[in-house]
Amino acid sequence: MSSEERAITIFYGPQHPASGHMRIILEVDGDIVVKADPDIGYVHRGIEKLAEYKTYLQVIPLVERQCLPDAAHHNLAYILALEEILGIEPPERAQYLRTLIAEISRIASHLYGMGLHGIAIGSSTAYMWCFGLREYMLLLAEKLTGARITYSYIIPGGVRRDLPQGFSSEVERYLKSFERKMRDLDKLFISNPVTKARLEGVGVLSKNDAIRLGVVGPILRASGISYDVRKARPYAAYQWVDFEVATRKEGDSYARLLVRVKEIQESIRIIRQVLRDLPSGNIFHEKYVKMLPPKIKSYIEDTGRVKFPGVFATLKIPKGEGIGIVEAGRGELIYHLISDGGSKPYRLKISTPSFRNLILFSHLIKGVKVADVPAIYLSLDYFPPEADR
Amino acid sequence: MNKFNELIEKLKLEGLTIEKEDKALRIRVSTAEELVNVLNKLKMQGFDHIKSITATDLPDRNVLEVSYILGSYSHDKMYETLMIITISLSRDNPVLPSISEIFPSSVYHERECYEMFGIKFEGHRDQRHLLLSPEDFTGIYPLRKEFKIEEEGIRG
Repeated sequence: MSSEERAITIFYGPQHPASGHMRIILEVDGDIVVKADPDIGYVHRGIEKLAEYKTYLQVIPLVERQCLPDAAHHNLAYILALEEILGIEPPERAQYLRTLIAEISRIASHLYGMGLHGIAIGSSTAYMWCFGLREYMLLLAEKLTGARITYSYIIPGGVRRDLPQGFSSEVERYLKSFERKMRDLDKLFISNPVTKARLEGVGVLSKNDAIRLGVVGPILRASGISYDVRKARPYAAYQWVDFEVATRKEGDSYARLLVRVKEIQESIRIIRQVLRDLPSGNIFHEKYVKMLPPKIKSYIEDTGRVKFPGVFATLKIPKGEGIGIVEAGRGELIYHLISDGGSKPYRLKISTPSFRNLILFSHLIKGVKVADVPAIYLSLDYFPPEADR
Repeated sequence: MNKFNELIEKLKLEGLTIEKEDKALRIRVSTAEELVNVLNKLKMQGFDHIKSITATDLPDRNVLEVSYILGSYSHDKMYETLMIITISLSRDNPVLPSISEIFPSSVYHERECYEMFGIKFEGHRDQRHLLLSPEDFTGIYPLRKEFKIEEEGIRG
Protein backbone atom coordinates (compact mmCIF):
# COMPACT_ATOMS: atom_id res chain seq x y z
CA MET A 1 0.00 0.00 0.00
CA SER A 2 1.21 3.49 -0.77
CA SER A 3 1.38 6.04 1.97
CA GLU A 4 -1.70 7.82 0.62
CA GLU A 5 -3.78 4.66 0.73
CA ARG A 6 -2.64 3.92 4.26
CA ALA A 7 -3.38 7.44 5.48
CA ILE A 8 -6.24 7.99 7.87
CA THR A 9 -7.98 11.30 8.52
CA ILE A 10 -7.91 12.92 11.93
CA PHE A 11 -9.97 15.96 12.86
CA TYR A 12 -7.76 18.12 15.02
CA GLY A 13 -10.17 20.49 16.74
CA PRO A 14 -12.41 22.52 16.58
CA GLN A 15 -13.09 22.03 20.29
CA HIS A 16 -10.30 24.30 21.44
CA PRO A 17 -7.19 22.29 20.51
CA ALA A 18 -5.25 24.97 22.32
CA SER A 19 -6.01 28.56 21.60
CA GLY A 20 -9.18 28.79 19.68
CA HIS A 21 -11.88 27.67 17.40
CA MET A 22 -10.61 26.13 14.23
CA ARG A 23 -9.77 22.67 13.09
CA ILE A 24 -6.99 21.14 11.11
CA ILE A 25 -7.91 18.13 9.04
CA LEU A 26 -4.85 15.90 9.21
CA GLU A 27 -4.06 12.93 7.02
CA VAL A 28 -1.70 10.72 8.95
CA ASP A 29 0.34 7.73 7.94
CA GLY A 30 1.35 6.07 11.18
CA ASP A 31 2.85 8.88 13.20
CA ILE A 32 3.62 11.15 10.25
CA VAL A 33 1.29 13.86 8.98
CA VAL A 34 1.00 13.56 5.21
CA LYS A 35 -1.28 16.53 4.66
CA ALA A 36 -2.90 19.25 6.73
CA ASP A 37 -5.87 21.34 5.71
CA PRO A 38 -6.99 24.17 7.99
CA ASP A 39 -10.73 24.62 8.30
CA ILE A 40 -11.64 28.01 9.70
CA GLY A 41 -14.72 30.17 10.02
CA TYR A 42 -16.07 28.85 13.32
CA VAL A 43 -15.95 32.31 14.85
CA HIS A 44 -16.80 34.37 11.79
CA ARG A 45 -18.96 37.29 12.89
CA GLY A 46 -19.08 39.33 9.69
CA ILE A 47 -17.26 42.30 11.16
CA GLU A 48 -16.65 43.84 7.74
CA LYS A 49 -20.37 43.75 7.01
CA LEU A 50 -21.39 44.94 10.48
CA ALA A 51 -19.06 47.92 10.10
CA GLU A 52 -21.17 49.11 7.16
CA TYR A 53 -24.12 49.36 9.54
CA LYS A 54 -22.43 51.40 12.25
CA THR A 55 -21.29 54.99 12.49
CA TYR A 56 -17.58 55.69 12.32
CA LEU A 57 -17.25 55.92 16.09
CA GLN A 58 -19.27 52.78 16.76
CA VAL A 59 -16.85 50.87 14.56
CA ILE A 60 -14.01 51.43 17.09
CA PRO A 61 -15.29 48.99 19.73
CA LEU A 62 -16.46 46.66 16.98
CA VAL A 63 -13.06 46.20 15.36
CA GLU A 64 -11.36 45.79 18.72
CA ARG A 65 -13.39 42.69 19.39
CA GLN A 66 -11.68 40.78 16.64
CA CYS A 67 -8.52 40.31 18.59
CA LEU A 68 -8.81 40.71 22.33
CA PRO A 69 -5.17 40.00 23.20
CA ASP A 70 -4.09 42.86 20.95
CA ALA A 71 -7.04 45.25 20.74
CA ALA A 72 -4.99 48.47 20.70
CA HIS A 73 -3.50 47.72 17.30
CA HIS A 74 -6.85 47.12 15.66
CA ASN A 75 -8.05 50.35 17.20
CA LEU A 76 -4.98 52.18 15.92
CA ALA A 77 -5.01 50.82 12.38
CA TYR A 78 -8.66 51.72 11.95
CA ILE A 79 -8.09 55.25 13.22
CA LEU A 80 -5.06 55.70 10.94
CA ALA A 81 -7.20 54.79 7.93
CA LEU A 82 -9.93 57.16 9.10
CA GLU A 83 -7.49 60.00 9.73
CA GLU A 84 -6.04 59.60 6.26
CA ILE A 85 -9.46 60.37 4.80
CA LEU A 86 -10.10 63.18 7.31
CA GLY A 87 -6.67 64.61 6.54
CA ILE A 88 -5.72 65.28 10.16
CA GLU A 89 -2.58 64.53 12.13
CA PRO A 90 -2.94 64.18 15.88
CA PRO A 91 -0.69 66.30 18.13
CA GLU A 92 2.70 64.91 19.09
CA ARG A 93 1.76 64.07 22.64
CA ALA A 94 -1.10 61.93 21.39
CA GLN A 95 1.27 60.20 18.97
CA TYR A 96 3.53 59.24 21.87
CA LEU A 97 0.61 58.01 23.95
CA ARG A 98 -0.55 55.89 21.01
CA THR A 99 2.88 54.31 20.85
CA LEU A 100 2.75 53.67 24.59
CA ILE A 101 -0.55 51.78 24.50
CA ALA A 102 0.50 49.93 21.34
CA GLU A 103 3.67 48.64 23.00
CA ILE A 104 1.85 47.65 26.18
CA SER A 105 -0.57 45.75 23.98
CA ARG A 106 2.25 44.11 22.02
CA ILE A 107 3.92 42.78 25.18
CA ALA A 108 0.60 41.44 26.44
CA SER A 109 -0.08 39.82 23.09
CA HIS A 110 3.32 38.14 22.88
CA LEU A 111 3.02 36.80 26.41
CA TYR A 112 -0.41 35.44 25.60
CA GLY A 113 1.01 33.60 22.62
CA MET A 114 4.05 32.35 24.49
CA GLY A 115 1.94 31.09 27.38
CA LEU A 116 -0.24 29.01 25.10
CA HIS A 117 2.81 27.80 23.23
CA GLY A 118 4.22 26.66 26.56
CA ILE A 119 1.19 24.64 27.54
CA ALA A 120 1.05 23.10 24.07
CA ILE A 121 4.44 21.50 24.62
CA GLY A 122 3.59 20.44 28.15
CA SER A 123 4.93 23.29 30.25
CA SER A 124 2.02 24.49 32.34
CA THR A 125 4.52 26.52 34.38
CA ALA A 126 5.24 28.66 31.33
CA TYR A 127 1.54 29.18 30.83
CA MET A 128 1.06 30.42 34.40
CA TRP A 129 4.13 32.63 34.30
CA CYS A 130 3.34 34.21 30.97
CA PHE A 131 -0.22 34.97 31.96
CA GLY A 132 0.98 36.31 35.29
CA LEU A 133 3.43 38.59 33.52
CA ARG A 134 0.75 39.65 31.05
CA GLU A 135 -1.24 40.85 34.04
CA TYR A 136 1.37 43.59 34.61
CA MET A 137 0.60 45.00 31.21
CA LEU A 138 -3.15 44.73 31.67
CA LEU A 139 -2.88 46.64 34.95
CA LEU A 140 -0.81 49.37 33.32
CA ALA A 141 -3.30 49.60 30.48
CA GLU A 142 -6.11 49.81 32.99
CA LYS A 143 -4.43 52.69 34.80
CA LEU A 144 -3.85 54.49 31.51
CA THR A 145 -7.15 53.89 29.74
CA GLY A 146 -9.61 52.63 32.32
CA ALA A 147 -10.02 49.25 30.63
CA ARG A 148 -8.01 46.05 30.81
CA ILE A 149 -8.42 44.67 27.33
CA THR A 150 -10.66 46.64 24.99
CA TYR A 151 -9.38 50.14 25.55
CA SER A 152 -11.06 52.14 22.75
CA TYR A 153 -8.29 54.52 23.72
CA ILE A 154 -7.41 55.89 20.31
CA ILE A 155 -9.95 58.24 18.74
CA PRO A 156 -9.84 60.30 15.55
CA GLY A 157 -7.52 63.22 16.23
CA GLY A 158 -5.88 61.96 19.38
CA VAL A 159 -6.35 59.75 22.40
CA ARG A 160 -9.09 59.57 24.97
CA ARG A 161 -7.14 60.21 28.18
CA ASP A 162 -3.98 61.89 29.24
CA LEU A 163 -1.32 60.19 31.34
CA PRO A 164 -2.57 59.72 34.91
CA GLN A 165 -0.63 61.36 37.73
CA GLY A 166 2.42 59.47 38.87
CA PHE A 167 2.10 57.03 35.98
CA SER A 168 5.74 57.21 34.90
CA SER A 169 7.18 56.21 38.25
CA GLU A 170 4.62 53.46 38.56
CA VAL A 171 5.54 52.09 35.13
CA GLU A 172 9.20 52.06 36.12
CA ARG A 173 8.33 50.09 39.26
CA TYR A 174 6.29 47.60 37.22
CA LEU A 175 8.95 47.27 34.53
CA LYS A 176 11.73 46.56 37.04
CA SER A 177 9.75 43.75 38.56
CA PHE A 178 8.67 42.60 35.11
CA GLU A 179 12.24 42.37 33.88
CA ARG A 180 13.30 40.45 36.96
CA LYS A 181 10.54 37.92 36.40
CA MET A 182 11.35 37.71 32.69
CA ARG A 183 14.82 36.52 33.67
CA ASP A 184 13.21 33.80 35.77
CA LEU A 185 10.93 32.90 32.88
CA ASP A 186 14.01 32.61 30.72
CA LYS A 187 15.50 30.00 33.08
CA LEU A 188 12.21 28.19 33.55
CA PHE A 189 10.99 28.04 29.99
CA ILE A 190 12.82 29.87 27.25
CA SER A 191 16.33 28.46 27.79
CA ASN A 192 15.03 25.25 29.28
CA PRO A 193 16.58 22.22 27.53
CA VAL A 194 13.15 20.59 27.28
CA THR A 195 11.77 23.60 25.41
CA LYS A 196 14.75 23.58 23.08
CA ALA A 197 14.37 19.86 22.45
CA ARG A 198 10.72 20.29 21.53
CA LEU A 199 11.10 23.37 19.35
CA GLU A 200 14.51 23.49 17.72
CA GLY A 201 14.42 22.42 14.10
CA VAL A 202 10.65 21.92 14.24
CA GLY A 203 8.47 23.62 11.65
CA VAL A 204 11.27 25.28 9.72
CA LEU A 205 10.19 28.04 7.36
CA SER A 206 12.87 29.02 4.87
CA LYS A 207 13.45 32.63 3.90
CA ASN A 208 12.27 32.03 0.35
CA ASP A 209 9.06 30.39 1.47
CA ALA A 210 8.40 33.18 3.94
CA ILE A 211 8.60 35.69 1.10
CA ARG A 212 6.62 33.57 -1.33
CA LEU A 213 3.79 32.88 1.10
CA GLY A 214 3.62 36.50 2.24
CA VAL A 215 3.66 35.72 5.96
CA VAL A 216 3.89 38.50 8.53
CA GLY A 217 5.14 39.43 11.95
CA PRO A 218 7.52 37.50 14.21
CA ILE A 219 7.24 34.48 11.88
CA LEU A 220 8.62 36.50 8.99
CA ARG A 221 11.38 37.99 11.11
CA ALA A 222 12.31 34.57 12.52
CA SER A 223 13.01 33.52 8.93
CA GLY A 224 15.55 36.28 8.45
CA ILE A 225 13.58 39.16 6.94
CA SER A 226 13.78 42.39 8.87
CA TYR A 227 10.44 43.76 7.70
CA ASP A 228 8.70 45.72 10.44
CA VAL A 229 6.00 48.27 9.63
CA ARG A 230 7.20 50.43 12.51
CA LYS A 231 10.46 50.95 10.61
CA ALA A 232 9.21 50.62 7.04
CA ARG A 233 6.32 53.05 7.24
CA PRO A 234 6.56 54.77 10.64
CA TYR A 235 3.29 55.79 12.24
CA ALA A 236 2.47 57.23 15.69
CA ALA A 237 5.79 58.08 17.41
CA TYR A 238 7.98 55.31 15.98
CA GLN A 239 10.05 57.73 13.92
CA TRP A 240 11.22 59.40 17.13
CA VAL A 241 12.05 56.37 19.24
CA ASP A 242 15.01 54.09 18.92
CA PHE A 243 14.57 50.33 18.72
CA GLU A 244 15.92 47.29 16.94
CA VAL A 245 14.02 44.92 14.71
CA ALA A 246 14.44 41.44 16.15
CA THR A 247 15.38 38.87 13.53
CA ARG A 248 16.68 35.31 13.52
CA LYS A 249 17.92 33.15 10.70
CA GLU A 250 16.80 29.67 11.76
CA GLY A 251 13.10 29.96 10.90
CA ASP A 252 12.06 27.19 13.30
CA SER A 253 9.54 27.26 16.13
CA TYR A 254 12.24 28.14 18.63
CA ALA A 255 13.40 31.11 16.56
CA ARG A 256 9.85 32.43 16.52
CA LEU A 257 9.74 32.19 20.31
CA LEU A 258 13.08 34.01 20.61
CA VAL A 259 11.95 36.78 18.27
CA ARG A 260 8.93 37.38 20.50
CA VAL A 261 11.14 37.50 23.60
CA LYS A 262 13.46 39.99 21.95
CA GLU A 263 10.51 42.11 20.84
CA ILE A 264 9.24 42.25 24.40
CA GLN A 265 12.63 43.64 25.46
CA GLU A 266 12.55 46.20 22.66
CA SER A 267 9.00 47.19 23.59
CA ILE A 268 10.14 47.86 27.14
CA ARG A 269 12.87 50.09 25.72
CA ILE A 270 10.28 51.97 23.68
CA ILE A 271 7.98 52.42 26.68
CA ARG A 272 10.87 53.92 28.69
CA GLN A 273 11.74 56.30 25.84
CA VAL A 274 8.13 57.35 25.41
CA LEU A 275 7.82 58.24 29.08
CA ARG A 276 11.16 60.06 29.03
CA ASP A 277 10.52 62.09 25.85
CA LEU A 278 6.79 62.64 26.13
CA PRO A 279 6.19 66.20 24.91
CA SER A 280 3.65 68.42 26.60
CA GLY A 281 0.62 69.75 24.81
CA ASN A 282 -2.78 68.68 23.64
CA ILE A 283 -3.87 65.07 23.42
CA PHE A 284 -6.64 65.94 20.99
CA HIS A 285 -6.55 67.67 17.62
CA GLU A 286 -7.04 71.44 17.79
CA LYS A 287 -9.71 71.38 15.13
CA TYR A 288 -11.93 69.30 17.39
CA VAL A 289 -10.98 71.09 20.60
CA LYS A 290 -12.33 74.29 19.04
CA MET A 291 -15.68 72.67 18.43
CA LEU A 292 -16.15 71.81 22.06
CA PRO A 293 -18.49 73.75 24.32
CA PRO A 294 -16.57 75.68 27.03
CA LYS A 295 -17.82 73.41 29.80
CA ILE A 296 -16.38 70.26 28.23
CA LYS A 297 -13.23 72.12 27.29
CA SER A 298 -12.51 73.00 30.90
CA TYR A 299 -13.42 69.44 31.93
CA ILE A 300 -10.74 68.11 29.59
CA GLU A 301 -8.18 70.59 30.89
CA ASP A 302 -8.95 69.75 34.53
CA THR A 303 -9.11 65.97 34.27
CA GLY A 304 -7.08 65.16 31.15
CA ARG A 305 -9.96 63.07 29.87
CA VAL A 306 -11.57 63.65 26.51
CA LYS A 307 -15.30 63.23 26.35
CA PHE A 308 -16.52 62.49 22.89
CA PRO A 309 -17.67 65.82 21.48
CA GLY A 310 -21.21 65.90 20.14
CA VAL A 311 -19.96 66.46 16.61
CA PHE A 312 -18.53 62.96 16.64
CA ALA A 313 -21.88 61.27 17.03
CA THR A 314 -22.77 62.20 13.48
CA LEU A 315 -19.25 62.53 12.16
CA LYS A 316 -19.45 62.67 8.39
CA ILE A 317 -16.21 62.08 6.67
CA PRO A 318 -15.41 63.15 3.11
CA LYS A 319 -15.50 60.80 0.18
CA GLY A 320 -12.25 58.95 -0.14
CA GLU A 321 -10.09 55.97 0.57
CA GLY A 322 -7.76 55.42 3.49
CA ILE A 323 -5.27 52.69 4.29
CA GLY A 324 -4.06 52.17 7.85
CA ILE A 325 -1.12 49.85 8.34
CA VAL A 326 0.42 48.98 11.69
CA GLU A 327 2.73 46.33 13.03
CA ALA A 328 0.41 44.48 15.40
CA GLY A 329 1.68 41.85 17.82
CA ARG A 330 1.05 39.11 15.28
CA GLY A 331 2.29 41.12 12.32
CA GLU A 332 1.29 43.58 9.67
CA LEU A 333 -2.33 44.62 10.00
CA ILE A 334 -4.09 46.50 7.19
CA TYR A 335 -7.33 48.46 7.32
CA HIS A 336 -8.65 49.54 3.94
CA LEU A 337 -11.49 52.00 4.47
CA ILE A 338 -13.66 53.39 1.70
CA SER A 339 -16.02 56.26 2.39
CA ASP A 340 -18.85 57.56 0.21
CA GLY A 341 -19.29 60.73 2.24
CA GLY A 342 -21.93 59.33 4.59
CA SER A 343 -21.91 58.74 8.32
CA LYS A 344 -21.09 55.04 8.01
CA PRO A 345 -18.19 53.29 6.26
CA TYR A 346 -19.06 52.24 2.73
CA ARG A 347 -16.61 49.37 2.88
CA LEU A 348 -14.07 48.28 5.45
CA LYS A 349 -11.63 45.59 4.47
CA ILE A 350 -9.46 44.16 7.19
CA SER A 351 -6.43 42.09 6.29
CA THR A 352 -5.34 40.54 9.56
CA PRO A 353 -1.99 38.92 10.32
CA SER A 354 -3.59 35.66 11.45
CA PHE A 355 -5.45 35.38 8.15
CA ARG A 356 -2.26 35.93 6.20
CA ASN A 357 -0.38 33.36 8.25
CA LEU A 358 -3.12 30.78 7.73
CA ILE A 359 -1.33 29.58 4.62
CA LEU A 360 1.44 28.20 6.85
CA PHE A 361 -0.70 25.40 8.29
CA SER A 362 -0.71 23.36 5.11
CA HIS A 363 2.88 24.36 4.39
CA LEU A 364 4.57 23.67 7.74
CA ILE A 365 2.49 20.76 9.01
CA LYS A 366 3.63 18.27 6.43
CA GLY A 367 5.95 15.35 6.99
CA VAL A 368 6.09 16.03 10.72
CA LYS A 369 5.16 13.87 13.68
CA VAL A 370 1.68 14.25 15.09
CA ALA A 371 3.25 15.22 18.42
CA ASP A 372 4.91 18.19 16.72
CA VAL A 373 1.63 19.62 15.43
CA PRO A 374 0.88 21.61 18.61
CA ALA A 375 4.48 22.82 18.81
CA ILE A 376 4.23 24.22 15.28
CA TYR A 377 0.63 25.37 15.47
CA LEU A 378 1.14 27.50 18.57
CA SER A 379 4.48 28.86 17.44
CA LEU A 380 2.45 30.64 14.74
CA ASP A 381 0.51 32.54 17.45
CA TYR A 382 -2.55 32.06 15.29
CA PHE A 383 -5.65 33.67 16.75
CA PRO A 384 -8.84 32.30 15.10
CA PRO A 385 -11.23 35.18 15.90
CA GLU A 386 -8.78 37.55 14.26
CA ALA A 387 -8.49 35.43 11.13
CA ASP A 388 -12.24 34.79 10.82
CA ARG A 389 -13.29 38.36 11.59
CA MET B 1 7.08 62.61 -1.72
CA ASN B 2 10.02 61.91 -3.93
CA LYS B 3 11.03 58.62 -2.47
CA PHE B 4 9.01 56.55 -4.92
CA ASN B 5 10.31 58.36 -7.99
CA GLU B 6 13.10 55.97 -8.83
CA LEU B 7 10.73 53.04 -8.75
CA ILE B 8 8.13 54.89 -10.79
CA GLU B 9 10.70 55.64 -13.49
CA LYS B 10 11.63 51.99 -13.62
CA LEU B 11 8.04 50.91 -13.94
CA LYS B 12 7.36 53.51 -16.60
CA LEU B 13 10.06 51.91 -18.71
CA GLU B 14 8.00 48.75 -18.49
CA GLY B 15 5.11 50.63 -20.04
CA LEU B 16 2.98 50.96 -16.91
CA THR B 17 0.94 54.03 -16.00
CA ILE B 18 1.35 54.80 -12.32
CA GLU B 19 -0.81 57.08 -10.25
CA LYS B 20 0.84 58.48 -7.18
CA GLU B 21 -1.27 58.73 -4.04
CA ASP B 22 -0.56 59.87 -0.51
CA LYS B 23 0.83 56.64 0.77
CA ALA B 24 0.73 54.28 -2.17
CA LEU B 25 1.15 53.81 -5.88
CA ARG B 26 -1.76 52.71 -7.97
CA ILE B 27 -2.16 51.11 -11.36
CA ARG B 28 -5.59 50.86 -12.95
CA VAL B 29 -6.16 48.05 -15.39
CA SER B 30 -9.25 47.22 -17.40
CA THR B 31 -8.93 43.66 -18.66
CA ALA B 32 -7.95 40.34 -17.14
CA GLU B 33 -5.04 39.92 -19.58
CA GLU B 34 -3.71 43.32 -18.60
CA LEU B 35 -4.00 42.39 -14.93
CA VAL B 36 -1.91 39.25 -15.32
CA ASN B 37 0.55 41.12 -17.50
CA VAL B 38 0.98 43.93 -14.97
CA LEU B 39 1.32 41.51 -12.04
CA ASN B 40 3.98 39.56 -13.89
CA LYS B 41 5.91 42.76 -14.60
CA LEU B 42 5.64 43.87 -10.98
CA LYS B 43 6.90 40.51 -9.84
CA MET B 44 9.97 40.98 -12.02
CA GLN B 45 10.49 44.36 -10.33
CA GLY B 46 10.59 42.81 -6.88
CA PHE B 47 7.02 42.83 -5.62
CA ASP B 48 6.72 39.40 -4.15
CA HIS B 49 3.58 39.03 -2.08
CA ILE B 50 -0.08 40.01 -1.85
CA LYS B 51 -1.01 41.88 1.30
CA SER B 52 -4.71 42.09 0.71
CA ILE B 53 -7.42 41.80 -1.91
CA THR B 54 -10.23 44.28 -1.36
CA ALA B 55 -13.41 44.04 -3.37
CA THR B 56 -16.01 46.80 -3.22
CA ASP B 57 -19.55 46.53 -4.48
CA LEU B 58 -20.76 49.56 -6.43
CA PRO B 59 -24.33 48.72 -7.52
CA ASP B 60 -24.95 52.24 -8.90
CA ARG B 61 -22.44 51.62 -11.66
CA ASN B 62 -23.17 47.87 -11.72
CA VAL B 63 -19.54 47.29 -10.95
CA LEU B 64 -17.37 45.34 -8.54
CA GLU B 65 -14.06 47.04 -7.95
CA VAL B 66 -11.18 44.81 -6.89
CA SER B 67 -7.94 46.18 -5.45
CA TYR B 68 -4.86 44.05 -5.00
CA ILE B 69 -2.35 45.41 -2.50
CA LEU B 70 1.20 44.26 -3.20
CA GLY B 71 4.41 44.66 -1.28
CA SER B 72 7.98 43.50 -1.28
CA TYR B 73 9.96 41.56 1.31
CA SER B 74 12.99 40.72 -0.80
CA HIS B 75 14.25 44.29 -1.29
CA ASP B 76 14.54 46.36 1.85
CA LYS B 77 14.44 49.59 -0.15
CA MET B 78 10.94 48.68 -1.28
CA TYR B 79 9.61 47.85 2.19
CA GLU B 80 7.70 51.10 2.38
CA THR B 81 6.13 50.85 -1.07
CA LEU B 82 2.53 49.85 -1.36
CA MET B 83 1.37 49.00 -4.85
CA ILE B 84 -2.35 48.87 -5.51
CA ILE B 85 -3.75 47.36 -8.68
CA THR B 86 -7.39 48.20 -9.30
CA ILE B 87 -9.73 46.54 -11.76
CA SER B 88 -13.47 46.98 -12.34
CA LEU B 89 -15.69 44.04 -13.15
CA SER B 90 -19.30 43.69 -14.18
CA ARG B 91 -21.48 42.63 -11.26
CA ASP B 92 -23.47 40.19 -13.36
CA ASN B 93 -20.78 37.68 -14.14
CA PRO B 94 -17.59 38.64 -12.34
CA VAL B 95 -14.66 36.48 -13.38
CA LEU B 96 -10.97 37.06 -12.77
CA PRO B 97 -7.97 34.88 -13.47
CA SER B 98 -6.55 33.37 -10.31
CA ILE B 99 -3.13 34.80 -9.57
CA SER B 100 -2.21 32.07 -7.10
CA GLU B 101 0.34 30.72 -9.57
CA ILE B 102 2.14 34.07 -9.70
CA PHE B 103 1.63 34.97 -6.03
CA PRO B 104 0.90 31.91 -3.85
CA SER B 105 0.17 34.31 -1.00
CA SER B 106 -3.15 35.18 -2.68
CA VAL B 107 -4.72 31.74 -2.21
CA TYR B 108 -6.83 32.48 0.86
CA HIS B 109 -7.58 36.07 -0.12
CA GLU B 110 -9.11 34.81 -3.36
CA ARG B 111 -11.14 32.17 -1.60
CA GLU B 112 -12.55 34.80 0.75
CA CYS B 113 -13.29 37.17 -2.11
CA TYR B 114 -15.13 34.42 -3.96
CA GLU B 115 -17.48 33.54 -1.14
CA MET B 116 -18.11 37.12 -0.04
CA PHE B 117 -18.64 38.69 -3.49
CA GLY B 118 -19.14 35.82 -5.90
CA ILE B 119 -16.09 36.67 -7.95
CA LYS B 120 -14.93 33.52 -9.70
CA PHE B 121 -11.19 33.05 -9.82
CA GLU B 122 -10.47 30.89 -12.82
CA GLY B 123 -7.74 28.35 -12.29
CA HIS B 124 -7.87 28.47 -8.48
CA ARG B 125 -7.17 24.99 -7.23
CA ASP B 126 -9.49 25.23 -4.23
CA GLN B 127 -12.97 26.67 -4.71
CA ARG B 128 -14.50 25.57 -1.41
CA HIS B 129 -16.07 27.97 1.06
CA LEU B 130 -13.65 29.24 3.65
CA LEU B 131 -15.43 31.23 6.34
CA LEU B 132 -19.13 30.69 5.61
CA SER B 133 -21.04 27.47 5.70
CA PRO B 134 -21.84 26.16 2.22
CA GLU B 135 -25.33 25.02 3.37
CA ASP B 136 -26.48 28.55 4.12
CA PHE B 137 -24.48 30.68 1.74
CA THR B 138 -24.26 28.93 -1.62
CA GLY B 139 -25.15 31.57 -4.19
CA ILE B 140 -25.54 34.25 -1.51
CA TYR B 141 -22.75 36.79 -1.32
CA PRO B 142 -23.01 38.65 1.98
CA LEU B 143 -20.65 41.53 1.32
CA ARG B 144 -22.61 42.65 -1.71
CA LYS B 145 -24.89 45.57 -1.00
CA GLU B 146 -28.14 43.74 -1.70
CA PHE B 147 -27.48 41.50 1.29
CA LYS B 148 -29.05 43.28 4.25
CA ILE B 149 -28.46 42.46 7.89
CA GLU B 150 -31.72 41.75 9.64
CA GLU B 151 -31.84 43.40 13.01
CA GLU B 152 -34.06 42.11 15.74
CA GLY B 153 -34.56 45.44 17.46
CA ILE B 154 -35.24 45.90 21.13
CA ARG B 155 -38.58 44.63 22.37
CA GLY B 156 -40.48 45.85 25.37
